[in-house]
Amino acid sequence: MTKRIGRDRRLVPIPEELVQSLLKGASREGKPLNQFVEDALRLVLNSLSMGYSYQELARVLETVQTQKASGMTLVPVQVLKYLESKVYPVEPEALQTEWFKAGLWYGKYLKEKFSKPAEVLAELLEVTRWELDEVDVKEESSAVKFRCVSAILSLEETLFLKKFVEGSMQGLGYKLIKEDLVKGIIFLEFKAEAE
Amino acid sequence: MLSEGILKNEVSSPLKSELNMVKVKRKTFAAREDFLNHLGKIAERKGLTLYNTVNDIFQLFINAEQLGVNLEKTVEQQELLENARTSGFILVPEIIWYDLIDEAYRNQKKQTLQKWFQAGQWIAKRYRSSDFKDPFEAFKVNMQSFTWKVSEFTLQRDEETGILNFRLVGPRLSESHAALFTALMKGALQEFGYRIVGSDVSFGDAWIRAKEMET
Repeated sequence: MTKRIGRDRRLVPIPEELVQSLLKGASREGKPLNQFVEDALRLVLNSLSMGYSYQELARVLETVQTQKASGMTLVPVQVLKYLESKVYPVEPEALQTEWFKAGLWYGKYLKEKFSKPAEVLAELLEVTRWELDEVDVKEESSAVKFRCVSAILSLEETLFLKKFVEGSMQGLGYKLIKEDLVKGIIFLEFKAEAE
Repeated sequence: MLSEGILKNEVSSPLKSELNMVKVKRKTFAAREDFLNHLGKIAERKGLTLYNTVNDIFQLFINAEQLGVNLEKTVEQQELLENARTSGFILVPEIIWYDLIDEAYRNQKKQTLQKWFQAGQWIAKRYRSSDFKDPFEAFKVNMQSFTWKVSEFTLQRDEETGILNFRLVGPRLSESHAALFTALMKGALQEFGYRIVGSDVSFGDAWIRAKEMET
């Protein structure tokens, strides 16, 4: 179905209708058609090679933009663990409060930006907290159930995560009504607070 | 690769058509053979024809473009997250991060600097032992993208003198953060075979000068 032309190129058939769409796309982006098509192949191939679907990629873009805008920073994980291990034994309450406050701010940010912020919070945790194996959120009338599972989180890290989620949900207007926490697993239930 | 000049009109036979036996006007475009080989493998894995796979990819790209999604930027961001994960980085709220840093630097300066230095060594070792064609370049590019909170991250090597210059500038960079990040970079540069010949740290600014060690 392909014919070789030159040393390293082949002719590939595509429907004429698609060619028209490609021409329009290239024109919109102000690129020559050949550049537009080469970019399309390269980018989609890159993402497919990494095991991502287009829908997942679109989610990643929004996630990173949100994380950057909401005061998140990338840090070396071993340094973070070291710092937490030094500060937590001395000031356990203070550190948990800091995670809660950070979550509160984050939740308020998400509430302003998204129509379904609880779902977005779960997605953001799932995509960017790679130490978590599972993140589920279930909304049932005025209640929201939140569940996170990780095989590698320490008890302290699980507590920090819980505080962060609790703070975020409070920022979204929910109050914690039930909690269950063991090392690596948090299960939290929230109820919408009256406005 | 594709241009109006090399597009050729074709009308496929209904018997040969891969689109529900319907006559479909086709054109052809010239594609790089390495791309096509790659596509062929993806098509095989998915049990599709090359023709359908190419169509799907273009359709995907057109949809993204029509929705205003910049696929190039999307892939870049996805790579950033993937690189951060494999490089041993994690996303945390900066309010907590800066508090932790300041507290540790104030109370246990020596040990904290040492920990950051070791983290730098560990990160560089991870790059060196990976299959990057140029581990140092990969380290440099990734660190630039990970430090999105600073306004300037430069790491440049003068080929004539063999001197490497690192500079970090950011109006929100506290002295403790600058000092600790410098320690991390020193650890990494040492692991990459450089000897530190000078450095300085102040509020909002840090620099290192290093020279490649002779082997």
